[in-house]
Amino acid sequence: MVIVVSFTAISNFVIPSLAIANSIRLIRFVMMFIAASLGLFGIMSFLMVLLIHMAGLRSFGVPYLSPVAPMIPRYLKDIFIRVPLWSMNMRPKTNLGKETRRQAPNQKPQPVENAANPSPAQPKPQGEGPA
Amino acid sequence: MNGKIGTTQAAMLVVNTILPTATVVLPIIISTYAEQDAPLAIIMSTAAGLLIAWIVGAVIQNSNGAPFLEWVGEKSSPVVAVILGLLMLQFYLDTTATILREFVNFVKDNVLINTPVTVLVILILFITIYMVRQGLEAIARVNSLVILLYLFFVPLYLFGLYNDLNVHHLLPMFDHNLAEITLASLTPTAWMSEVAVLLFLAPYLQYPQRAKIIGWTGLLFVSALMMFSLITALMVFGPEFIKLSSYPGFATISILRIGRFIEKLDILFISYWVLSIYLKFAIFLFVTVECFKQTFRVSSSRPFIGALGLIIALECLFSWKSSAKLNVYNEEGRFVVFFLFNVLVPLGAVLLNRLHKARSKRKGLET
Repeated sequence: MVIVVSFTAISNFVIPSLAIANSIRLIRFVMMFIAASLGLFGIMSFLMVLLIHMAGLRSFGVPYLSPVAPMIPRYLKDIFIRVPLWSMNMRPKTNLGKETRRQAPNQKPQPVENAANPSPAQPKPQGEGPA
Repeated sequence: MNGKIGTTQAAMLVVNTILPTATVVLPIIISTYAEQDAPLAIIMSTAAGLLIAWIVGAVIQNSNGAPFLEWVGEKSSPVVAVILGLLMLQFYLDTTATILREFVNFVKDNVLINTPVTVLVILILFITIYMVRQGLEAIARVNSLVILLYLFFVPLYLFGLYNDLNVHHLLPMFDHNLAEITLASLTPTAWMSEVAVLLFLAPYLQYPQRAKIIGWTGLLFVSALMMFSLITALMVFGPEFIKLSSYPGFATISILRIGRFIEKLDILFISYWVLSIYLKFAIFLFVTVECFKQTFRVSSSRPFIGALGLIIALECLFSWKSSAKLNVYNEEGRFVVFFLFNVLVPLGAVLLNRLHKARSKRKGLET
């Protein structure tokens, strides 16, 4: 019991957003009631209701659980493990804007000696350097 | 909210259409006839299942994803389509009721022993009706999440049983004759034929022309997991115990342990199984509703989901009260019924299409 309570308390810190933490707090009360009356079967049943509800939601036409469900592997770059910002050149495909490119290619920082003689493929840094 | 689903999502739906009840019901039936040769029966039933998937895929390719009964009506006559629709509706109502009963029986035997069956049926039905109302797209998304969890559960299962696996329990191989193995493969073939639900999911497929690939991929995945589950259960307990145990798969899980600190993981696997059987039940309820919609040509099926759910609940509570009766149906009756509706109906549709094509070709030549 002590382990379960402490595990739950520590898990709370995973959620950085206060708004979503409040929603989860309310959901937790329902979950506690169901768990007390129906046990693990009740937890799984309520989990299924939550999952199906979230899978049916859309925000601005984008599925709420995207890119995990529906799974779009190339958009998973900042979901479970965040790849370096310089490698995320494309925006996730949504219906919100036509601009699919996030940034110019080849943004990976180079060692100083390479930066002094940039290769022709690399874009010239703007707004930096001696005036 | 019924959008289109992709090829991978549809293949994953096929997996959860077959697997959840197959893992619970089939091991005892197969082992009774084939004992340690049970994997051969799975291979045989997979071959038959792939053939059925080919027939179902051919129908969907010919109709190009049109609603099945509407297409049958165009190719033959509307009267034939309505009669076929009524028969298929009866079949899907029965099948969905048996799935609900298997679900409830399992929960009653293993988890909530003192809870009345009616309470469980009502609770499960409410949740599943909500799932169906959310649409196939939402069901397919949750289904893909649940299938992804296999990446966690399969290695856990394998590593947990590593010390208990005894390969000698699989010997002597090829000890049973072909007749016994064929007998053992009949019921799994009935389960594999459930791939025919694709006929009613076809209007929601993004690429209906890939229906055969969807069916084959789903069936191969099911076959691999069934084989894995059966072989491990055989290696742990041997064929004699599997014949006597009600749920050999879960009996195997109950002895699973990792080191000296992780054990008694059966409740974890049961929780996962509950998630997958919810999806199976939702898929079948969706197909039942879709069959009703196509038979009676109603534009919106939403008001009827609850009514169909009620019929299923009543059938589950009163027709399948006895588990012994359900077991006899699974062993002896299911193959005949499933062969009729999941094999002969699509096969008839393929032949009808060929006949229709030949007739219009002849007409073209005459003019």
